[in-house]
Amino acid sequence: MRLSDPYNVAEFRPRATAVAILFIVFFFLILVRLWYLQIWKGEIYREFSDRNRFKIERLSAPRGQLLDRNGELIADARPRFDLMFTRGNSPFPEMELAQLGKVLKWTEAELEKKQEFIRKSPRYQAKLIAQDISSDELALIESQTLEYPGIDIEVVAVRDYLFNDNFFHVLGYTGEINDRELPRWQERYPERNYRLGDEKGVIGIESAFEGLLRGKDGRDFIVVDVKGRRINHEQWELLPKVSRVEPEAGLSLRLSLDLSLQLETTKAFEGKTGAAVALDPKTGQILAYVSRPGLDPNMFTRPISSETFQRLTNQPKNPFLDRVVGEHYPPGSTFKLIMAAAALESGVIDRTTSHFCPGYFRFGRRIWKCHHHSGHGRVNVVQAIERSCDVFFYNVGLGLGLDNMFAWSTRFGLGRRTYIANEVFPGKHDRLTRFNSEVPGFIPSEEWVHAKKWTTVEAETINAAIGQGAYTMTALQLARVMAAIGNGGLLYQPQLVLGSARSSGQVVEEYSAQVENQIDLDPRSREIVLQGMREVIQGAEGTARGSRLPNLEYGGKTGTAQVVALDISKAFKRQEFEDHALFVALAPLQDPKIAIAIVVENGGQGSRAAAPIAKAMIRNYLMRDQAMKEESDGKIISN
Amino acid sequence: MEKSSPTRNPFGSFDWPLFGCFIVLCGLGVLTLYSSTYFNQIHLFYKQIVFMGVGIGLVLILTLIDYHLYERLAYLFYGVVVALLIAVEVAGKTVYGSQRWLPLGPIHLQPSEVAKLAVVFVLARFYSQERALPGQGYGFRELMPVFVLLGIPMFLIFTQPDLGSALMVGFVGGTIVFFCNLRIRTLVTMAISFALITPLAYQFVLKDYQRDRVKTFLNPARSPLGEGYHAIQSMITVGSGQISGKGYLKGTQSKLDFLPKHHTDFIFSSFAEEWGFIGSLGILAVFVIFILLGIDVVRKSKDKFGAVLAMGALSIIIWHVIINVGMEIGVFPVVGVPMPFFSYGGSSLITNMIAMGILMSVSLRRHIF
Repeated sequence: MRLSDPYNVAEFRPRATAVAILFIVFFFLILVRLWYLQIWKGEIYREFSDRNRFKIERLSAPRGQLLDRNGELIADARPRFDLMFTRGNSPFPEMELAQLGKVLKWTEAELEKKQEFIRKSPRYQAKLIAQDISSDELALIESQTLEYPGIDIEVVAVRDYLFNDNFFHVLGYTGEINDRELPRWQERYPERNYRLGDEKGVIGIESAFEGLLRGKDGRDFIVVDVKGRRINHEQWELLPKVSRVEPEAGLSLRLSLDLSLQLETTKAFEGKTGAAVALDPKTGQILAYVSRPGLDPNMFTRPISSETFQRLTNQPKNPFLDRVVGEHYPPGSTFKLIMAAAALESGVIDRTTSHFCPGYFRFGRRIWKCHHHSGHGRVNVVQAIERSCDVFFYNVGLGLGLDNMFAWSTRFGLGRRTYIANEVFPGKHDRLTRFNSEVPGFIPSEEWVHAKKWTTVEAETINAAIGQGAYTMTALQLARVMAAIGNGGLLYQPQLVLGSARSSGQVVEEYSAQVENQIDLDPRSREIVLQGMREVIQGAEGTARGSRLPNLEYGGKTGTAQVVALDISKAFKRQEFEDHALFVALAPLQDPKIAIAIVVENGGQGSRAAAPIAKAMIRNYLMRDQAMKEESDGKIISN
Repeated sequence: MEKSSPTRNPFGSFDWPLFGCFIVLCGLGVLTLYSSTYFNQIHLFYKQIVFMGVGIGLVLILTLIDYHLYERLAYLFYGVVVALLIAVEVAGKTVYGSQRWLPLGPIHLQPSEVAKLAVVFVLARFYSQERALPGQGYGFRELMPVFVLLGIPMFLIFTQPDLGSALMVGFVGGTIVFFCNLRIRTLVTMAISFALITPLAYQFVLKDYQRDRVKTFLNPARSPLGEGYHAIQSMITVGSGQISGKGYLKGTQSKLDFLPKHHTDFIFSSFAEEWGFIGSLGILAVFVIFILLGIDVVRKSKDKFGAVLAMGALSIIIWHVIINVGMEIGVFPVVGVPMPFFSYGGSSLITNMIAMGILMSVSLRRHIF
């Protein structure tokens, strides 16, 4: 049965040994290689494997909150949910996107665009496909995670502005840092770890105090599998835990603004263009800061298309312009208050000095008209303020002289920046801390007139006496003048931030306004100016007598600033040639608590367009308690 | 010729050391597979336990079967296997882009696995009769039939395409040829011509993806996330084990899927990651003992067929180990050869179990004369 020959087995034996040696040599080579990989290079490979499984996840830190002076929340941080798509994680990317498209209600074209975008993306790179999805959409997607293997949800803390466009210019808005800006921001705030697409403040408080508001992002070391997915498995307790660095929220800022007053002011400004600003004369704190038109800053927490941006910037009334500090206007007749104070202090006039107003003023060969063409008759300084008599102030101006007016304007803080919000970093007047590109305004001197040659000192003086000509100032400067008159001569750098605190509530720092100048103002002169302001409202011929408030005596001054020469505006009845309406106010007259300046662009007469806004503001700010008290008194009686 | 008297108790000469060595390897395999699958595919572990039980039973059954049965059936078996390989070409099931499986009802037969055994049988049968001139060994002329017998299945497997299995058949056949009194001159000539043919074969015979694998093998960094990914991740896995390993069940590379196929082709890396150099050394030592015991079976075989058969069976197992581990430690291209008794998967496990059974069968009958 046996086919083989059993006798020759012996000759196989040496060859069998040879095969054994061959095999063992191979095993030895394997051993050498193992020694090389595991011992010689072991540490390097261990490091590689650690890098493989640990992923550093950034925990987005929320920006500091913004609160009003009473601690009411104005701007908060909210989580934004973004969808990231990794092509390599999805077995059928196109189908998954189509299904996602149904949840997110993409149009056919949008879906195709996204599919194309994902098709071209690198296999294992997460790409942003949907930003800021709603909580309903999030819930739908999260409830079916198994159906969306390619999707990762990223949570980013973004700003949430509670009052839409009400605070647009003063708060500013946040936008995403692009690759051009990134190096600059990293250099400016090196400890803040900026990355592409991070939130940064643009204009306003958001921009000026970026360094305080921005939080410190945290880090979490997470264990991930090859697809970059977080592993949650109880057996991983076997692995060493790696520490987590919690994100640190930015400092919250308590602002000097009064929420209710700000909302009321914006409401009163409805449909108008311009600026309104209110200061507390005693502290230099800004109570309201309104520039119109405004935008809803929430729309910038999503990226906006360049077309939308173009459309916004190309409006006839640029909504990005901060009209409180970023634009200057001729003060018009509101300037007469400074003229009166200057003339009284310089002794050019006194309480009883009077001039006759025939309705015009002749100087040399030129005639300047009074706005009241039939004339005011003989008026003293209080009456001149009350009725806004131009002729009286032409005379005062010539008496003072342009350089004297220049000196007094300087004392009242005109012709230079107010350095609003300087309280946080006092003395640091560089471009970074200049709030909303504040402009200095302009006051002419005789030297300037000589250099210009196209006007004479006298003509310029007469124009300037009623706030026309080369004189320009910002709404904030005007309000500050009011505050200085109200408090007896203290010129503050207007304060916007009252204090900063950690998210725990622990106060970090309290700020107070810096006094910039102390004007030597005789109380008697001040009294006369205030009396004039009182008559503007309360007087029988007061220019703003239509804006009286019951139970409250306040003072004001109307102003109308010509935009173009009178003959042109008469020839072309066009909105943009309409005069700017101005109004300044102090209330209450005894012991003023609020100083207001209002500019309504192309609003016409100050008494009609601007004064009602001031009236609404004063009623809101000063009679708020009274109104509430009356209400509760009524309740007690009815009970 | 002595009269043989079959022992009443066949287990009197049962090769306990070899069997013990085999059981140790199976145990280590199961342990490693558990670690490799417990994280998210534990069902594969249970399946493999069943395969393993069936396999060990198969070893015991084959131990009892007289191996001379294969001598008689060798050519028939070989013919059937070649027919199956052709059938696969025609009607095979495509897995991972190549036709390797033959659907036979619920069982998916992989003829390339069985081909390894068929080649061993047919060569053992061929060499069991002395055909070379006495004292001279085998030269080319005498080896022509061997080349044909080896070449047909190799070619068919290669065109599936399954480079790994084709090479395995070649290595196993080559080992038998080397073992069976090959002339030294012939060996040298073969080595030289192999060195000359290899570059030509690379250029004209290999398919693009196979060339890619070789290129990637020579330089894995060429495509770290593509073709070279397996090789790089496997080396990271092995290397990160360092001297003492990350600890049982704590290997991160395999658990987190950084290492693909960590329960099949790359299971040795999973082991090396958790047990380190010391553990790897242990496994290699067990295999060396296994080789020595296996060679002992060859040397003590009482007939030529048995000796060649045992050598073939042993070389099937050992070449699997060498090529698989070589691939996992980056000294051999990634060709998809599993690790005997360790890798998950029924088909290759059965092949290795049959080889083990044959080895045991030859060992059992070493005194039966």
